[in-house]
Amino acid sequence: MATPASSGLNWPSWINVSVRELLLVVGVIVITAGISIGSSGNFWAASNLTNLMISTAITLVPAIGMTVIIVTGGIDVSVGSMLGLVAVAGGTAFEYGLGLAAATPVFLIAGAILGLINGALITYGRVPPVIATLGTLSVYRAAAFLFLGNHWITMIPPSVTETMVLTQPLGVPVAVWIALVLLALGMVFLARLPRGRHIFAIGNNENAARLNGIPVERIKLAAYTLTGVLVGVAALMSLGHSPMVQTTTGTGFELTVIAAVVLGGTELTGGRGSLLGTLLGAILVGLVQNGVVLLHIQPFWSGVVLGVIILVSVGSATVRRND
Amino acid sequence: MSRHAFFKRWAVLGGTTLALALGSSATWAEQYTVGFVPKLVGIPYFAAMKQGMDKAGKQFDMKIVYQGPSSADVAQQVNIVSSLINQGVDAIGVAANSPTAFGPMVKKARDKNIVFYSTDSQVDADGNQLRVSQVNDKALGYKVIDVLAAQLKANTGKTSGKVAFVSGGSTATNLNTWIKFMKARLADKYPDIELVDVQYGGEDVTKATNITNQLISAYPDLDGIVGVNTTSVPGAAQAVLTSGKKGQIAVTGITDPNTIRPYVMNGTVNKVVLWNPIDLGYLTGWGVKQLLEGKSFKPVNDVPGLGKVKYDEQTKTLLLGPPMVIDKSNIQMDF
Repeated sequence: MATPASSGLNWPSWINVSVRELLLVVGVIVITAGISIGSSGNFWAASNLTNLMISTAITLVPAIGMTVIIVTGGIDVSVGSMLGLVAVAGGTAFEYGLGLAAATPVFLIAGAILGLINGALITYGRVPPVIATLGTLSVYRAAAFLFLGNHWITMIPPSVTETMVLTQPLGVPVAVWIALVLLALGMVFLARLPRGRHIFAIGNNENAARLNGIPVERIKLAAYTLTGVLVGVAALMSLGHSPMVQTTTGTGFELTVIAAVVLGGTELTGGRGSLLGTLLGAILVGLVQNGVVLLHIQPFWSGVVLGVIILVSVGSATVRRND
Repeated sequence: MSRHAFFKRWAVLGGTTLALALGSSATWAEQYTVGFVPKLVGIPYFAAMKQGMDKAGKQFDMKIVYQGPSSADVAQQVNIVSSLINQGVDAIGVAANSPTAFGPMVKKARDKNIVFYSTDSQVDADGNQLRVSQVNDKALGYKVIDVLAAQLKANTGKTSGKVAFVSGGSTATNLNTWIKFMKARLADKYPDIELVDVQYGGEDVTKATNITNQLISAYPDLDGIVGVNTTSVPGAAQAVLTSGKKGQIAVTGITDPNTIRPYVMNGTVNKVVLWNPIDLGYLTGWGVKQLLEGKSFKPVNDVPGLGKVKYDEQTKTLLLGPPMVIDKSNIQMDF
């Protein structure tokens, strides 16, 4: 889990390790050690590691898209409601008797449509990203309420849990492998392909990027749509983790995702960010949420600890730059 | 199935609008209008209560208006109650999000000669004319622990071991009352069963799953888990299932058949405890009708379709009956 903190001269060029990421690695190691000792080793129980990995993967997958969006200078605060509504759509497909393979496209397409709506509002509707996605945060949640009525979807086929969580090639659940593959693709894309560099260009100076012939609107639209698809993937994973759809499914999830991205060093002002940082941020968030029960304290303390870590890490970065 | 429910919803909505329009022009028809404001809408439990109230409405010629907040929010609930009183219903009642917040509403209703009642979660105010209680809290808490103890004995051969509780909100009055009685039963009857932890996961199955997973890791020799609210039991069952501890860790608690069905069918959970919310809604409807007609209750009442129902004069409480155990034999009940 923890990358060795060597000087790393021979990294492939698409892995670009910064001081901040090394600090995050140190943070992960320290917290892991703390929880290990505090829980007298119970942290390392196989079932706990599986749970930690799955929770982290569910955060990480939409965080990949969120990183791209935030690098362009935007934000999507609707992912929690999106996850809920996609889970309603996919869960309904399961209720109609579709199997895992047949229902997977429902999750991806539903996510793509919702992400596309966000993107269209922002790029062509010219609504500021926070406002646009704050609006869809409400609308998507209301849609889940209207569609589900007073009913919860409980008949999710056991094959979802079996495939996503219980099938573990090399001891790692399939859901986690999916997240890692998507992360690697994202890293290569951002660092190696021209389009990846265009995304940073948009975040640094949107007008300059436009003058240079970069199709700003199309790229942004694609970023929000992609995030929608990734939320679809996360929704499927989350039904493997806890196979039930409530009207409130995903409430507050957007904050977990944004916290992981921001902790990872991606800046809300746009133009700077890294997916490696996002991975470490997601692991850190997962660890903090995982640790509390193991340390025999109440879960709401994880909110306090997480808030303090975010304030210290982002605050210190700002102070450093202003010096 | 859910599409069906979706269309039905719209049909019901349309029908209600039509009925409202007709109702206002046809005031000569002496049909009582009864408002019911649940803790929140969008959850199966209160939908089942509404089903029972509608049944009573049909049988005793009352119109039921069902409206509630989208989250268990006291302020929103008070607003809805207030606006229903202003619309001039004949009776208004709540499943209260707070026992103390409805004092002014009770007064407002009584000043306008509107019957005020509470059901499921009660209102403390003096003017409250009827409380309909699903189950005796003590009987429910005791029953859950008895089911747990029997399950531990079936798993390990003895009524001892380490157990943990997973509850919903840490301030929910009813959940905390049940926890109190569950602890009392453990202390009195099963001193060898040790309660190692009580954790709170809110009304969210994913949180309950995560918390139970961590409990299983934190206490490797855990023998049983009790889920205190609807979402905690399936969350706990899922965690036990994915950690491969099915059959080693007993899971039980308070939840409804629709929510726990997959885990009863696959054997992770044997028995859970609840009452019948459809019957609770029906009893509420019956009780309100008695008040509207100015009848009083006897210590034991004959309720059509339910049989004998006890009434406590001092607390003005109708009591539905003993807790119901749900297992494979009756898991097909739809609520």
